[in-house]
Amino acid sequence: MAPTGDPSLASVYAAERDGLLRLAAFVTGEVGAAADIVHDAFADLHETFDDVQSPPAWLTSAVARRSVSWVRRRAVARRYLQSAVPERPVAHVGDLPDRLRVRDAVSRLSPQRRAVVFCRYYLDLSEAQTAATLGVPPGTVKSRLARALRELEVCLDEQ
Amino acid sequence: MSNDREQMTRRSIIDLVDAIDLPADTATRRSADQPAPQPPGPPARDSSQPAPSAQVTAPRHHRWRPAWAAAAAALAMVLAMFAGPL
Repeated sequence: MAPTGDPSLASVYAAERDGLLRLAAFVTGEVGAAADIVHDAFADLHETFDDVQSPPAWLTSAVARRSVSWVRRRAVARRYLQSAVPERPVAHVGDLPDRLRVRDAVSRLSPQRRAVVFCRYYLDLSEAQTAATLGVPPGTVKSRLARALRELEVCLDEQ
Repeated sequence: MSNDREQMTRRSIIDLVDAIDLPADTATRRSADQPAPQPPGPPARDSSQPAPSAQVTAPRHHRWRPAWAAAAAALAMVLAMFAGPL
């Protein structure tokens, strides 16, 4: 997270850029799309920087929501293109077998569940914080995480 | 999912996320061997080359003319005015 005090946009960018890219890449499965999403979020933050109380939280929320929307739009496009666009797993993560198994399991989760998993496990946010970040009720966070874990368990057991 | 299993999944997720190859940050980072950008202005001179002469030939229409040449031109104009009616 960004340092406390009165950070400049440049210092927020330096502190948050990599984490936000990981969030977007985890949800979308595309590093290129992740870069676009993160840059768009920073561009929007630049417009309202003085009005934003916590730029890191604002950015996490913006990137998570945009990433979920990006996956939804891609799903619609894929339907129109009759599955011409191949399904992408989570961005390139090396070739360790265990890691590939987890990657394949995660790639089967919906983008909403990926976002919850990222916030709860990688960012270590509480249910309430995750709910605020993603703009959903805490109960939704709880149920999405439970279902995501169940799906992951099934997928990993299958492999 | 059991607690141990959940912790294992958590660690696997963290490992997976950490392993994502991120694109280079072209906005703020430069590689160590890449020189810093120069501020706008004339290019740096190669020290092995002799310094250029300070005497610069001005464009033709701005070339300085000596005072006597201006005076001669004015005199020729006056003479031409008087010579016309003659």
